[in-house]
Amino acid sequence: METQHTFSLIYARKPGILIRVALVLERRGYTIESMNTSPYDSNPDFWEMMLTTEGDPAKLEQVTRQLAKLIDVFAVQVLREVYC
Amino acid sequence: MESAKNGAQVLIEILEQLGVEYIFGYSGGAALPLFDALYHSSIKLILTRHEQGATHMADGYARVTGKPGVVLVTSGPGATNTITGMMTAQMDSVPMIVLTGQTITSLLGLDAFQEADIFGMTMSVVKHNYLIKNTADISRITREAFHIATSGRPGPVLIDLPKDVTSAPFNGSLTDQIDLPAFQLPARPNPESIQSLADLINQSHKPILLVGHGALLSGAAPEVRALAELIQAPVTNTLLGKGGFPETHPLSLGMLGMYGTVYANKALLECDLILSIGCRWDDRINGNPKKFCPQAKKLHIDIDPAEIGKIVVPDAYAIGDAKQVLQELLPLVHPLDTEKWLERVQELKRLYPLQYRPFNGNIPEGSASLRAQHVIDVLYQLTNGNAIITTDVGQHQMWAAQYFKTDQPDTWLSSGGAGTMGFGFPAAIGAQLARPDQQVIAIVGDGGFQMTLCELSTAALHKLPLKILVIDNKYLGMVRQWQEFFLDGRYSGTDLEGNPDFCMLAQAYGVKAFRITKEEELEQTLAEALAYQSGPCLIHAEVVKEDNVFPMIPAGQSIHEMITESPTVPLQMPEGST
Repeated sequence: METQHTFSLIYARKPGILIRVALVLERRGYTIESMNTSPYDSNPDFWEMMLTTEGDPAKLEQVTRQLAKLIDVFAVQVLREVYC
Repeated sequence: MESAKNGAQVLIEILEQLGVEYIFGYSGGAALPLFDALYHSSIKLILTRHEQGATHMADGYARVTGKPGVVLVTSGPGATNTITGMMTAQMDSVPMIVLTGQTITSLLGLDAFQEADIFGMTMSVVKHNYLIKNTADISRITREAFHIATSGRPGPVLIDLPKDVTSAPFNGSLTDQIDLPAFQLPARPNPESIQSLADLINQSHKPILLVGHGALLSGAAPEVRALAELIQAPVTNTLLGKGGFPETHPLSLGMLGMYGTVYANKALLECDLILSIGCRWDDRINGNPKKFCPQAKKLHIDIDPAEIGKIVVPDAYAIGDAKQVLQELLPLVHPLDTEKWLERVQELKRLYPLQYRPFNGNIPEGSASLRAQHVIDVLYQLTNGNAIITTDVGQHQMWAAQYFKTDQPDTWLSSGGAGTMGFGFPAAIGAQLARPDQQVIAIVGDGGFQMTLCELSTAALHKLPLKILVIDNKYLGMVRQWQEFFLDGRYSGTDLEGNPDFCMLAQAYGVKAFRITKEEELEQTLAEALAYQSGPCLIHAEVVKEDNVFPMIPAGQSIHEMITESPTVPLQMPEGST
């Protein structure tokens, strides 16, 4: 069953970051439903990306860890998991 | 501050500061300023004959030294030709810097001559990459690239350099430091997680240590040995873990997995604990992760948090540098009573030895009279195992892994994760440049060697005393083996009949060549070749066409399904990966 997941990524706004995030998700079968970026209030070095995706919940931990591994990603949080 | 230097000169100056000895490269229009800056540099340029060769040379250099190998190529096809080499380095966690020329910034995205979006193209085969658009960023980005390539789990980093960026005057600061606010180095291993490893180890009666490439990358071989000897545990290693623990040590089980020893694989079925030290439990090792050692506690040490739970969910784990974790683990474990376990392991070794039968004169009708295993075994005896070995991928690689035992770290260089044909010979060139006084031997297949053999020019030019042992069975042997077992012998696309005379080919490049076709010639010819030091030499060993690597666990199957001799009936094609 596919599940809807909402991620919050805190990241440094460096070239290629959107593609890098999309590649991690695409390779593991996660489709991006919405993406929103904005300056991160707590730290001027970073921006925040809110991502809603749909994918296999069994791969959620691996997807999260691979996103966190990106050089320009500071932190990843899974905010919401909705079964659909 | 205005500098008299241009971007390319500054880049080369920083590479000099960072201790770069060699650049492996191939020139071209968009890279002209970079090659021009190299002209008066102390860095030695190794001009290759193909960009792929440059990447594998840099890879071989990096694997023996631990320092990043540096590649410099031009834009477009020059850049795309490095992709296989970067993917090879990425899969095996090898530090590498790839510098690519690029068209001028104003033409980016306009399909300019020799323009390739190498930045976009390579994102999934590198640890990180850059496209520099301002000359002032060169200093900072070059330092960042080296930092990223070498810290934590190593990997390749690409920097794409438009020609106007490298030719413009540099007006930045040479001492610009790195600016990577989101990049976090692995923290100190958590003491509680190390204690949890120790608690399980201390309860074990039948432990096994599993040594992977991570143990070598962190220089943990002494700690691995100390742990094995303290708790009296047998040790098995992955293909890339060869050298992390001496394979001639009484506690060694040699390589495990698809073509590993029967005794290593059978011991895995009986152990009660398996501690992976920098191994990522990949599909060559576990066969089928759902059936992999269900009876054993699985412990995992890895520097990359994304490896924890990726394939195997561990009972305990520690995230960190293997050497550091083991140093902190050692005082927490005590000697275990494994006497019965070690007796059982010895029994497995006696019952299922790793062996092949030389022909000893009994040559089958119409067959070549030499077996590849025999050639590699004699090479091992003649060198006393004292050599840096590089390989391609396939049957010769597995036979080399089985019969050329590795005792020292960083002396076994093989493309493990990527399985790249054509890796072995250029990697040997990089290794020989890094270790001019050591014996370097590329053991390659006839298929793989033909993919990068143009580097015979490079080896000959620099008079590198490396040896190229071509195991020629005129087949893509490993694929043929699968077709024999699983596809009723339909040898589709695997017959390499029509191979060149490799000796004549070598001679055309001015490379000394030896030929071996019979067992009787084996020892003497190999000894002559090993003694030849005036430059590279090639040994063409013509071996049996249809020979198989045993033992073998078909892909996706468990250790129970191990094959130890040629099946008499066709087997079902395995569902696991290739």
